[in-house]
Amino acid sequence: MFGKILIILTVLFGLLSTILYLVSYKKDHLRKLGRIFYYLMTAGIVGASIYLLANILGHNFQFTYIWEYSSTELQNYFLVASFYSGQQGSFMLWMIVLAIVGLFLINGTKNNGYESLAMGFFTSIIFYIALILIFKSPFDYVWETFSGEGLEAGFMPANGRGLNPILQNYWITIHPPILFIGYSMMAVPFVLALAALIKKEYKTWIDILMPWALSGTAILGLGIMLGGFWAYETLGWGGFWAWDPVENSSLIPWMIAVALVHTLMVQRRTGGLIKTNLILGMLSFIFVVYATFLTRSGILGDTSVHSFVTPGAIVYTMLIFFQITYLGLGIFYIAYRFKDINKYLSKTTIKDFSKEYSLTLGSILILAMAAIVIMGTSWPAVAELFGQQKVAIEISVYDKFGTVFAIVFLLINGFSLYQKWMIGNLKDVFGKIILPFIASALLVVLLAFMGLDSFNFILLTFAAVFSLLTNLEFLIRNLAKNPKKLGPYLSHFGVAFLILGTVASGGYEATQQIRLTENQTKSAFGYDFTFIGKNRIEQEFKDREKYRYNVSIKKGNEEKVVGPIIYWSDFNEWKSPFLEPGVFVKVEKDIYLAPKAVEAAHTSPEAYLRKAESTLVPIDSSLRISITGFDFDQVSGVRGNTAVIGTILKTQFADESSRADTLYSMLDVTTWESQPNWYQIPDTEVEISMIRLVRDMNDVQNTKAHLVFKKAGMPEPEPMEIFTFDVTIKPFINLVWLGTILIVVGFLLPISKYTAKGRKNNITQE
Amino acid sequence: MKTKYIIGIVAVAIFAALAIFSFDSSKIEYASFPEAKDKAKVVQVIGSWDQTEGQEYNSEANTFSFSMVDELGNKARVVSTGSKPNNFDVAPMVVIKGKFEGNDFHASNILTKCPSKYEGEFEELEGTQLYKN
Repeated sequence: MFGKILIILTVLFGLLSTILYLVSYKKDHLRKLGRIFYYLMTAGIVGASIYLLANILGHNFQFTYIWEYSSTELQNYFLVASFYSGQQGSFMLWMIVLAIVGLFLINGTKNNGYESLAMGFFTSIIFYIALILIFKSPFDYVWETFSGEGLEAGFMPANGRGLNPILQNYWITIHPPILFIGYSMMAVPFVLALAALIKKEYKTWIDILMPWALSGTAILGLGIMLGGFWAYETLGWGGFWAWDPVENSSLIPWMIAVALVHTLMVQRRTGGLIKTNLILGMLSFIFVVYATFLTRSGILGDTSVHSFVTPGAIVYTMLIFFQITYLGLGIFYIAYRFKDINKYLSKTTIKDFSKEYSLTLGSILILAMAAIVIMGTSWPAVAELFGQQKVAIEISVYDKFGTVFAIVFLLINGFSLYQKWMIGNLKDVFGKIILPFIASALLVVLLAFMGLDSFNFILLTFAAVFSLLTNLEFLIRNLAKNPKKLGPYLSHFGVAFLILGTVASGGYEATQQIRLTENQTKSAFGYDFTFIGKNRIEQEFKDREKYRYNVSIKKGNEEKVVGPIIYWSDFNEWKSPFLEPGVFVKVEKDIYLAPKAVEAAHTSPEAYLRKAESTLVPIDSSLRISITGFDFDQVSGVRGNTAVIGTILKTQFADESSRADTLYSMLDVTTWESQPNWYQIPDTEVEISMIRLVRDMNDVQNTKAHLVFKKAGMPEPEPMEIFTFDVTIKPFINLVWLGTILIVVGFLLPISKYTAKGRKNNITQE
Repeated sequence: MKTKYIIGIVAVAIFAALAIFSFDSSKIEYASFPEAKDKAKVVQVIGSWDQTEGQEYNSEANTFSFSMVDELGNKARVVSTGSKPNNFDVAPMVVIKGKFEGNDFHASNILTKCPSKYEGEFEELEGTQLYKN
């Protein structure tokens, strides 16, 4: 009840703050009151969050949300992560991050006349999310959620369902919060653009926006890429980007924001692109809302791995209204002020073949790529709306378009560095780019001899190298002069590295499967791989059995032991193992070990028999055995599905007499293997066990029983494990991470140039 | 100025047409197993793993196979290269992409729902040990 009251208060304070703020645009004395209610709303959100967190830490499973996503086995930092593991909690996280971003925004707008409008619209976003949380509350009790089931009030489940072991990794405490900070910061260009439209200040607003646009883009980009790194490094998805609809829906706002940063620069230097900036400023947030809708409405349920389940009709409708509200506001005000903006348009339009011309062209290309991603991501949903058949999109389309666009904008980027603002100096530029152009061409020819083979990759590599060389030249030139000016060069360095890394690691990876028993060595890609044994980790937990499979990777004097992880967990009732890759990170490549399977190999004498086949017993050739049939008796075991199977055995003695026996085995029906269950055939010295059924999917009659034998009374031979894993060589994958870091740093570096203080100093310099 | 607008509009139109054509020709339809058999091309099938038939990872061939029931209740054998997806057993729903080869559906891709997004079912709650305050 307490939590729900706090949410209701948040909604009310949010509504009051929104109204007071918007009214205070004309009646300034109400602005302080609007701010006070904003603080009260923030207090409500913080209170509700603390209350939820306290209940998570206190394992209060009476709350359905906590029962669904938390459990007593989780360590503290995963308990914190279970706060936002589900729909409701991640809305809470979004709300709290928005509220904090809003505090900074108050600070940035209270002295320049933007507070009333910007904060009014900003608070309305928080109000909206809080409203959704009334209908989809993290504070529902289990007896309310399952009200039809006759649970009594006060009912307490003994334990929660817990957090999927796949997600139990420190990244879950890093990636989602950073992403939400990025999402929340995208709201700032939107509210500032709306405020600017209402105030008819189409020029000054971008000065307030610039630091926000740079930092928001940097943080959102970082959040997206950390998700990619997480997927690569521990989830074992093999890659860092799969063009999955949910990945895409976070990339779209980022691409629009990147274009916005460029068009803002054009407006700052030339006065052009006024309308473009107003529209892009709003679009980046509109697509954040769209991403929220796509991921949380369940509409992508069948096409995306990350999509939430349908939240229910009320929330679905609210999410649609959430979108329509902000899209409608944007369209309305742009249309309303369209004529007015035209009056303000400066005489300086974009000069042909000048620097701003190239920047605009580059932005158009980024937006065109964004349009492709929007289309591909929305296609399945739109097809469904129009009553078409359900479809999915082949991701190769993104690669095709992405390749073409990347080539063009890398070339434009290199070219633009030599251009001047407001002057088209084409001849001059051509003279200057000849050298880096030839150098790039030579390097790519060299790479082509070294194995760079596809035409697309050759062009892409050429463009990336060209961009690298030109940016390097300007980086060196400006290094001594003004470090704050290095941002763009570093970011474009990053883009070129990211693209080179993607080409190399994606286009030239090679995989080989290796099966090893303990202390066995096999070679692949010039390295010797030895399985040196396993060791159990995280033994303090009773809900899992986790093993590190240590593999030594050796080449000459260089040796490294990596440990892919295979573990079993209560989470899926030990039905199948969870797998984590092990990575040998080298400068020029990663050697990526993805575990595939572990099987028991038996060293006992063995035989494979089909029904009605016979064979001589390997340890006693006076006996001949055959299988006359199987006796199935399905039972469900404690851990997953096991079935008791009887193998009906006929033993023929040397004197032609025979006897029938039944061997019972507890088979795991997912692997069809069984622990040996030795049975001594009476009147003989032979013990026998059926340890595996080798099934033929196409012909059940072809199923073979795997039998093992030992002398009666002899100890059982130690079973050996065969560890199967894939070795993948990922050339230059580190360029991807390095590129990302450089892009982010490049965005953050010039921020101080655009803050109020920095602007004053800059005016004197420029 | 006018010519610029015309060039722009033409460029956008060409781009849009190209994009729509590319997506339209690359789209993969969803189908039931019988439809997939008739079409004999790459489709996606939604369904769930049929637990009564078990599943199998063959490490020598590096194939994972299981029996699947589509949304209309048709059953088929699914074979894919590689190991079992990480949360295959707990996924209430799988989406597979591929085509029929003979009687087996050869899947190039098995999609299981992201592990964080399942909501609790009452049956799970029933199964937990319960006590009252």
